Amino acid sequence: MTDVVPQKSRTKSLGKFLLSVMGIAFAGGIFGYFVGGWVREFEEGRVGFFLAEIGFAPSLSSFIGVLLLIIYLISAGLFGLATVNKKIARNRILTGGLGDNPSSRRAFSSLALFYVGYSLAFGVLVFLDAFPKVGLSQPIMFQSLIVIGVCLMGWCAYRVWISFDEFFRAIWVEASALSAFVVLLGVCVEMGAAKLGLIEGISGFDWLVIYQSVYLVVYGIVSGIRDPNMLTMEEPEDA
Amino acid sequence: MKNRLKVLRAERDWSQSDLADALDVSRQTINALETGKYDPSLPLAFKIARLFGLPIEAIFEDNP
Repeated sequence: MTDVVPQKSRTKSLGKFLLSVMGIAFAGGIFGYFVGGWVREFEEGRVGFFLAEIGFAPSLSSFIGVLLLIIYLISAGLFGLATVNKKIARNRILTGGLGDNPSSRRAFSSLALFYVGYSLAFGVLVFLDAFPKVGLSQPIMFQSLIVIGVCLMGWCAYRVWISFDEFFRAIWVEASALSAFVVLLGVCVEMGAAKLGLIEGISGFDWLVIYQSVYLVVYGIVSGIRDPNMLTMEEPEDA
Repeated sequence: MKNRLKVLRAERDWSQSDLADALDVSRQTINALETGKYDPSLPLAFKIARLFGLPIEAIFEDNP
């Protein structure tokens, strides 16, 4: 079956998309301007002084890491709720396109725990990146938390794998492989540039944040291609 | 890869949900198969063939 979309309609959709992106970028610029001013005042006040004492080392990666962490915690909550609430389970936006079907229902509880483990491991890494001095004082504890989080992630990822049907597995594998490939290219470019002295080099944590950001975008693209009805609120009518 | 899933399903008056339940896959999988966005694995193709009582070649058409 081929979809025949009129050229005018496609141009209109593309135009709307570009306008939306420009609008978001503009709004983001204004937001960043005011937040930057607030952060500057914050840093030079009492709280800023205290944070400097304990070695608070903010970076863009930490900020994006916190945003990602919020996403993972919300995801854990939503998937947990989906196991008991049919309305949430049917909502494909809240369940990342999975919806209410036998395969997804088997996976919801494992996905919830996966994101709990992910939040634990990644949350510790974000904390250590922002407060490196605090991390040095309790290395065993933080390392243990990371290991626990990773083990929980690994176990739950296995459970999700066997719960998913082949279609969702294919999306998962494609998204993971494509984003790993993109990031690998970036690593090669970065290593070359660092060797030539063009840039300082990017830390492992920075690459971890970059990979997760790339993965979220790639997953959306791959899912959108494979399942165009991914984010419809109700189940799509028969094609 | 083209397929006759939608036609065969309609002949039996099954919804995508009915077919998905019979094959133990998600409705999204059936939707993706019918719209050509996804090609089934061999085990799933055999399962579909067994369900409809037809050979695989009668359901799926390879277009090189």
